[in-house]
Amino acid sequence: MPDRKIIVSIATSADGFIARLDGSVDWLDRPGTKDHYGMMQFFKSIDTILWGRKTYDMSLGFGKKGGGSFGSKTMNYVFTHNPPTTKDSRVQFVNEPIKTFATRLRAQPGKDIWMMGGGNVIASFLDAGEIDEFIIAVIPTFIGEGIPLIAAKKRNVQLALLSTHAYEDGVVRMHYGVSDKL
Amino acid sequence: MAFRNDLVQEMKMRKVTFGGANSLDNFIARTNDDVGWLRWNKEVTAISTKFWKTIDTVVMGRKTYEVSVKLGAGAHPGVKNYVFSRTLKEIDDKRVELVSVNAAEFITEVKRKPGKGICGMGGGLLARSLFEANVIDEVGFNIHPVLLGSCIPLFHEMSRQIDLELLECKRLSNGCVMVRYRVKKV
Repeated sequence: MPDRKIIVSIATSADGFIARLDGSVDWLDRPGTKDHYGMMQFFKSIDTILWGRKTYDMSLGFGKKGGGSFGSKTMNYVFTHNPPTTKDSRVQFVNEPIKTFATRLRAQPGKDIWMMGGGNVIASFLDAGEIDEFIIAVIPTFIGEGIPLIAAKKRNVQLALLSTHAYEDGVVRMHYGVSDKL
Repeated sequence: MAFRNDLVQEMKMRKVTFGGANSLDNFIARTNDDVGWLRWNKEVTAISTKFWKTIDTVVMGRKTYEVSVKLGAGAHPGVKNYVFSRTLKEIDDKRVELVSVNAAEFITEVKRKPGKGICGMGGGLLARSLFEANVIDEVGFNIHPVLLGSCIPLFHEMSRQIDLELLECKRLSNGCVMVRYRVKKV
């Protein structure tokens, strides 16, 4: 088992989508719980975030409205085929094979790594054998259509249920380990 | 008080439940596909047996029924079976009633008659039209610890958002999570 784990931690609708087709996540807005469905504790266990380009750009949009900031101590890697230049030392754009990148990142000392998504970058890491765990918070709503948790491709990835928690407002959080990585 | 009478009528109406086993990425068990990933144990059998005692009617779309026939099952024993199709002319099985009129209107009528619960089999187009017509009261999933990536999605894409209320969440010893939701009506 690797020392630094790469963990997908994300909310999905009850019909399995991470966002509407236009990327919006308005259906995630709810009063929430004190511990933000365990996210506060999870955030303390990571020091690095992996992003797909579209998800990162969306998050910058949220940042302008006062959200989306993940602190000065967090390192961000954004996967893109067209890396732009950036002056932000906390952001690096990555365009190299996943295995090479993940092996190097895991070899560096540090905390766990948060795979933010979206569906394409999660699929690429999963198919490269570079996802260790999934923490899924299921929101009690069917949004009808949207972007799936993992980009479609026939696979058969066995998971092991580590824990589950039902919150008072109907959100169900499930924590899985990827069986091959246990 | 007309409103109150409507409310009493609504409460008396038979419950329509849809659901089944799904993968974490929300693909449904369809019997014509490889179902080797399905986990079955005594716990699941007990929950299933208990549920079957609460229903007396099964509704399914043509495709779900045809898969069931192919597997040698066909109609479900001990319950009334309705199969919805606009293309089939007849079904050569006395245990099955073929329905070619609007499914939502038909099932709403069945709900008004006295009886036990009504269970929707499979997902597909039937489930979508019933959701959109506000006919489904509860949904239940047995979420399996597996990612399948592709297969048949649990429900076809729907045109609007449907909010749910969590009724039950149970962790099973085989790694599955069983969840049951009430459909919030609009």
